[in-house]
Amino acid sequence: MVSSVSRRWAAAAALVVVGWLATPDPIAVYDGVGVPDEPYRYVMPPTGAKKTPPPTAATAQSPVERDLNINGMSVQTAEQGAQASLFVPPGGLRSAGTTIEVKVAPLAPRDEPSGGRIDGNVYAFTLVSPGKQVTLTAQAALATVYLRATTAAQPGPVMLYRAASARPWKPLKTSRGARTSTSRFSRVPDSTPSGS
Amino acid sequence: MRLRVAALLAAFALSVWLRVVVGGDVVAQSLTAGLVFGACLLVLTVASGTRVPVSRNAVLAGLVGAAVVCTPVGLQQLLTFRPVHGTEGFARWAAVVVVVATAEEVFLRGALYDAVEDLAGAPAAVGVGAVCFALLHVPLYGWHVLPLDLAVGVVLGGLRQGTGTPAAPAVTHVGADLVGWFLR
Repeated sequence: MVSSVSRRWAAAAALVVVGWLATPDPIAVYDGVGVPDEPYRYVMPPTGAKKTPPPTAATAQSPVERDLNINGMSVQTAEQGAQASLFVPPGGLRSAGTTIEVKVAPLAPRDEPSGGRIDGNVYAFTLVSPGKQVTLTAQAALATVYLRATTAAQPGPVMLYRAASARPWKPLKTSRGARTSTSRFSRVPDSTPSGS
Repeated sequence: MRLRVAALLAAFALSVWLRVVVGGDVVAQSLTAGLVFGACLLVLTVASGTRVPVSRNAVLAGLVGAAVVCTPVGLQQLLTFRPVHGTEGFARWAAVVVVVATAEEVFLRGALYDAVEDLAGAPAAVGVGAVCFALLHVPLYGWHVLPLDLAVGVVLGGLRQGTGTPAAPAVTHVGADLVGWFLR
């Protein structure tokens, strides 16, 4: 027999889930005070930008078994309001090597896309396995990239991607990751998804 | 009684407006604006003579409530493999969040709840508190937050009704906000 208290809690949980599903881009903080981001850290600060420490890079490693990374790899730059982060699920990368390393590094913007201007840093996402090539598996579709905009202004920036420096920029379909500028998708990433 | 509810609602709207003015373009992230808003609500609550009895059962119910309202985002975090946020800067932010979230609860589920309950009954008190709770976040985050904050507002009001004290929803609200730091 289900008690009335249990029924009330179940109803509360159902109500929250319905509210969650009905809300586009919900985040955890139900109230009040958003987490303040520190000013955006530029590799090459534009005129008038606040003086900040340099932007940070981040790396993560996983051993390889049966040619696949056995651990999920989570990398996040160290700014308050990380400017870039990446998660690669277990089995998302294939290599004949013994380890795979994921690197996220900020770069100065160059090779502006036609019809636009790069606002902030370019971020290079690099996958390295010493002496071996790294390729993506179907599981890599679960990988997640978060990038932060330089400001909270709306509409937000367009995300572009290129597989290597010489390639043309391509638009990426993204969604906003938070109610505020914190963790919002943005920036124009320069990605090199495989390497040796 | 009707005048008391109207006065509390007007003072609440004024507090929200003051927060928006102080916070400017970055109101959602302004700790100062949050503290000003929280101070306004605390003054209103004290002026209303609202009591906030704290009991073990209320705290326990509040903790269960926090788990309930955090479940969707926790599941999303797991399913999307999103990394958990670090603790740098957490202490200062948390100190402000505890004040603001508690102030919101003792006002909405304390002073305002009592006044509306006396006038129109507990269901109306839960509903009015939930609507105010949802609307206060619109200037900060936009209209899209209404469904979720309305639902959570009803849950917080239900906790107030079930435990007889705003302490329970305050624990839920503070708990959910603090967990929210890591799940973003």
